[in-house]
Amino acid sequence: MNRYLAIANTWWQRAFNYRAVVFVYRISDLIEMGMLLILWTALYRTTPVIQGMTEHEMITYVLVGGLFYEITRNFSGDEVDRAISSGSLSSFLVKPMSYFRYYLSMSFGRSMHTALALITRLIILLILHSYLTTSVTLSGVCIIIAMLFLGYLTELFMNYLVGMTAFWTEETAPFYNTYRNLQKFFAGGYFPLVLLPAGLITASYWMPFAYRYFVPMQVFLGKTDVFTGIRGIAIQIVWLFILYGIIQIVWRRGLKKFEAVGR
Amino acid sequence: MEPVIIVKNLVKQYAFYRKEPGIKGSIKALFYRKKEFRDAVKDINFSIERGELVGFLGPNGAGKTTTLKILSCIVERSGGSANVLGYDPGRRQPEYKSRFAIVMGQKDQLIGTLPCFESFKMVQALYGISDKVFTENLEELVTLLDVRDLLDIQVRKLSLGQRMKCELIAALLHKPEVLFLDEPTIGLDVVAQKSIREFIKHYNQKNKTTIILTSHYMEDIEELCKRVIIIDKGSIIYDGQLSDLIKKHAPYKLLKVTFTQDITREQLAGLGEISEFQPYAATLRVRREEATKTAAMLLNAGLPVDDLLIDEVEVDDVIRTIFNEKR
Repeated sequence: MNRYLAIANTWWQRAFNYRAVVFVYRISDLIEMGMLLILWTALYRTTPVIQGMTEHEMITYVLVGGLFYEITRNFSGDEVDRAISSGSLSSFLVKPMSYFRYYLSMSFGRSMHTALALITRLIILLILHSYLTTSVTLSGVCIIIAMLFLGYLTELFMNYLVGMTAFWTEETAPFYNTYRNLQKFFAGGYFPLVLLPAGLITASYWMPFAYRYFVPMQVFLGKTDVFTGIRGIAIQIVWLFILYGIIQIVWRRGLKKFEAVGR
Repeated sequence: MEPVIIVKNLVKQYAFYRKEPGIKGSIKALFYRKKEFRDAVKDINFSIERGELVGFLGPNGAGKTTTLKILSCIVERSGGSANVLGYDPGRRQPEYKSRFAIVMGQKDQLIGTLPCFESFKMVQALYGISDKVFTENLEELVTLLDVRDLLDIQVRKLSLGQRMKCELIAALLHKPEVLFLDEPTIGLDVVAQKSIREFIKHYNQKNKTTIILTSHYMEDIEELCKRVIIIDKGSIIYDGQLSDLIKKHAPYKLLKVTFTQDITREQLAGLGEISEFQPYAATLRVRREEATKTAAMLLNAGLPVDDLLIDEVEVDDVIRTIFNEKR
């Protein structure tokens, strides 16, 4: 356990060296959140309810859902990509610890970024608290916590997978952009999934992404039952096993390609 | 003594693509790229005994670093076998990784944005080194390499020489039995080179650590390695004692003479092959067995000799000769 804490601690310290980066990320988040609020407020001027959601529910969806999304987000795949393309992965391959475990510890350490994000998000929630609404129960809170934790792990696993594309290509940005856009869409990060056709809603329930934003928000707003929540958690767990299996296969294949070029 | 490193018929191929020049070539490459293979290591064999310090020599791209990368679990071999301390590096077992270390002069293993002590603490955690052993080893290495004042300074603020010393500490904290050193002195000034060399020598003698060293600096090899393995274009072209290599490929010695007044080339005629000449100094290449006799002749030839030195040929020259002969 000590080794994992030591790695997390090192990365926690490193995160302090990139204050400017953390700050710019926060600004970018606030801009996006502001745009969504302006858009929805404008749409609600002509109608009090959109697809069964009131204006206050929608504002809650944007603000609290954004917070959930932020908690489960990470950018650690960039480190995998950088390690592979720069060749610095070599220095991990010679260490008596699996790189995946190192990656998990590092990501928890990097959660310093998330901690800062939470502070800004919570301040905004406090300022706009009169616009918020909730019908969450105690069991709902437990389901949300479990979903967010599993959603965080899913995002870590997915980022690791995308980062590993660096074994085959020098330019990984297109893969990240495609993945991030798709997962944000299916998470309900651009708009609530209730606005989608029924087929796509069903499909998104079978994918792991909706459990980072849309589904926990449905629980928070009291729009879904406990059973759907528990089924969602089961789907997330199955996905984690599937992703872990894929990671092992891709890693083994990738290492065969790895030439440790660079610096 | 039983060898701790055994390499048999080791092969490593790298795949690469060719692209025709210009936009046309780029568009064509979008649809079709011809895959080709390059042999980085071709069927090499060697074994190294415990405690040996072996020099790995060869020009850029010869296959030295690739061999070290295979032995240290970084890249996978394409064929043959390798065995280090009874382990197959291809299996990447944590037990094996706890028993060797690699230092690459051109790659940083320390975390640039943190003081090196933080990197050492991470190494301690990764290798599961107890606090007691960590403190003892760190104390010993810090003293030997004289870096006590550097431990709390951000790594990226250190000079290249200081950084290499800290890289060595990070690599040796877990007391590896086998150490791969890939160009550890590259880019360092002569003082730093010397200090790293002295450290490696001391460490090898004290701990009986088996070391493979690659370096472009012949001083490193001459001072540290009795045995050298020369590799060129992926194949081993020499494996043996450095002294035998010199005897075999340099069957001559150098007579370095300085004069009290200027002389002409003609005055040295018949004494040996003149390899360097200035009016007040010259270097003659003479056959090894005739060196003493020629020196006596030189002194008795009535020349204004101020100083005379019988020297060995530079190892660098010997190696260059070998490579030139092979091409």
